[in-house]
Amino acid sequence: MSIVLSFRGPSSSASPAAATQVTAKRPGIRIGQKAVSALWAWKTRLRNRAELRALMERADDRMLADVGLTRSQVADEAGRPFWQG
Amino acid sequence: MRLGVHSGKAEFLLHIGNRNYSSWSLRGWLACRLAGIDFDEHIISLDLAGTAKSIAAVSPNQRVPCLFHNDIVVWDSLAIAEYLAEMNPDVAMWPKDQAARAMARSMAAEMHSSYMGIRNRCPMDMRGKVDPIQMPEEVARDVARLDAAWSNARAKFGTGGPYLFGEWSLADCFFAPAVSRCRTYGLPLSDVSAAYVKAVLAHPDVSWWAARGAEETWAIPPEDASEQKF
Repeated sequence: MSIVLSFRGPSSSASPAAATQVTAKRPGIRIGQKAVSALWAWKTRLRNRAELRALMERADDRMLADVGLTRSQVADEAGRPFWQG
Repeated sequence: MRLGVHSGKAEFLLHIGNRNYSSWSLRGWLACRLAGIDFDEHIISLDLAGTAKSIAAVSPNQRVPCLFHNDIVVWDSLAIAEYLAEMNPDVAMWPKDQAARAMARSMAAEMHSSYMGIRNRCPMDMRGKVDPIQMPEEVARDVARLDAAWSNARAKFGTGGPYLFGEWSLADCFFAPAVSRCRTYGLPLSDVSAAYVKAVLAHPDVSWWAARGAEETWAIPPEDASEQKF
């Protein structure tokens, strides 16, 4: 689901047009090895989702797209219970 | 999913959103290009599932852009710009002249914190084109301020090139989305500012980004977009 392009600085004399597409890896989730880290993840999720709900209320679709988000996806994420990643 | 992991081989990894709509992503990306760093770019695309979750997984403020430099994470385009400027003192990312640099920083900060009329009523749509009609008052006020700021910088410090402070700088990176909005919405500008808009749109990095944005297929539905237009 992700695209990664590589850009090289002037020392390697490549222009943006020379950006090369490489395959993105999808590292696995590393949560829940210890109870403490699980609790911390829950807390972060609760806070993040509350922030997303607040953002949805004050931003229209284009303002959300400006920061890389869509309303339906934000609503979906914001509405998930904290114990679900 | 830990997306804050380098997928390529570069020292830096920049997470961005869709090119056509995400003005903040454009600023961060232009800053990386200006710094001349090797960086990998990861697009968290709006047309794929799980955008909000993907962004939350990498960015402390759940927004793009977000830059990873090994274990250091920098979010917000202005912070990214300053981090890169600090790391690359040999590259004149801000103007060399102290007075010019002070004005450039002030203008970039003003773009970051103000111009709410333009930002709210004229959202970035790089490939879009809107027939200009009567501007709302808050847009007209912002356009006048933008025109004055650009003209002032061009007149005082712009002799060395076509950009605000002559050579391409972070100030131009920060105004690139506003420049794109001027084109999309046909905002009325003085000759000096109109020439500046033309110069920025012709900059290789900006035109490259715009061309890639035009290739993106995801679009905000017209009925939503029409409510934004004037």
